Amino acid sequence: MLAQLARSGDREAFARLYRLTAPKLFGFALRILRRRDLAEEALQEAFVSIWRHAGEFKPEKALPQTWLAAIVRNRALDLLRSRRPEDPLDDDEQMEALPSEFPDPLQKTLASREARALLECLDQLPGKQRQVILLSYFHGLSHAELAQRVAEPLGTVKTWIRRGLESLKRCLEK
Amino acid sequence: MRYEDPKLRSLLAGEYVLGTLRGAARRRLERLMEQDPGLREAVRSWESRLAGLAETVPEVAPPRSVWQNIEAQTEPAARSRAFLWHCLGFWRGLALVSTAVALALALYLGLRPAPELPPASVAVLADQAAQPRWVLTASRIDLSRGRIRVEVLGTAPLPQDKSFELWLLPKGAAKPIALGLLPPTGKITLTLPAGIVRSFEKANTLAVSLEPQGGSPTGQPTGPVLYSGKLLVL
Repeated sequence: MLAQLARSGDREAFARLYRLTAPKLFGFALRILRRRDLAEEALQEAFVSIWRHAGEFKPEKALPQTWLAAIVRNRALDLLRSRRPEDPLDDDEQMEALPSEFPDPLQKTLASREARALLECLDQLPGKQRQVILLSYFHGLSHAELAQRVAEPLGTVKTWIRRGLESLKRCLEK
Repeated sequence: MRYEDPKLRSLLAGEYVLGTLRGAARRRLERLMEQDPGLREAVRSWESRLAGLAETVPEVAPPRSVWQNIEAQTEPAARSRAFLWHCLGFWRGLALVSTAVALALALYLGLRPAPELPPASVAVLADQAAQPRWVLTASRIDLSRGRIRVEVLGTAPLPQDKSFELWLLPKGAAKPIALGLLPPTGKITLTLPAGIVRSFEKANTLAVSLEPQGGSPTGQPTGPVLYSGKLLVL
């Protein structure tokens, strides 16, 4: 569908793509931004970008869902980072909000093989490594921000990220 | 940095995707990616690996307005909803006093490019002689971010040592709410005080008064109201 979109600038295909993918992507933007108005803005900007750059999508290089999610995530993190500093996310809320499993059994059945594999591998990581990886994925935190958030030295956090990523890669290669 | 080391490349690519790679190091990697397909591939691999996290969220239906805004921004200009902007009837609907004024306004605005996003709220403030002077618009996104855009038609005569101040008159409430100072010519985007947006959507009149330079010292209009108009919520 994306390929068709790219070739013909087909608005029907674009509308269909939106209908099929927007609810999940909106949920994703909401998870990152925690505010409806910002999530709406991110979703809107993402789809305008998707329309304009559909020609750059290479189906042999990536899954459409990956490409769409990456665009939404980038927009959401941009918005998050440009927010006023007086509005920090509440720490406790943030800790609870990190998803490391599917919202319900039905979602798990519908999820892709890749997603299920990732969650299984994440599950096998030591808690701290999993935590910092999820924090940076969903909240776009830098090493320094992570260190502050989990109250650990910078070097420790960097090591956790490195080890966590290495373990994930090894686990997913199996 | 030994970028040829595959383990290091993979780590950098992973941190790039995760977002923990920042600043100069991030920019350096982006430059390298332009020339190095292997590095681009490493980044793509990490995007694929981590993409599953985007699936762990529940679906939430976005409001229809999001799609409307997407359509408005991706439609070719000829077919855009900007047509509404140019339509005479639209301006009559703003309860301007005379057709002649509405026509003049439509022609004036017809000469400029249509706004990117369809406005959710519009007001035209006119003087006692029903000459339109200020056009206020806000798209849905603007309102959600507490912004309104004001454009002056021509130049509003402003005596020395005075300022124009914009007020919101909520329905039924006794006190006007100060929204900010306006220039006598050109455009300005005002950021509304927090919490005002909800009043904005329930109000039906806006007004501009002449105040001492810097605005009213009392927080309420102290000078004459020179312009006013109805707020239309689309």
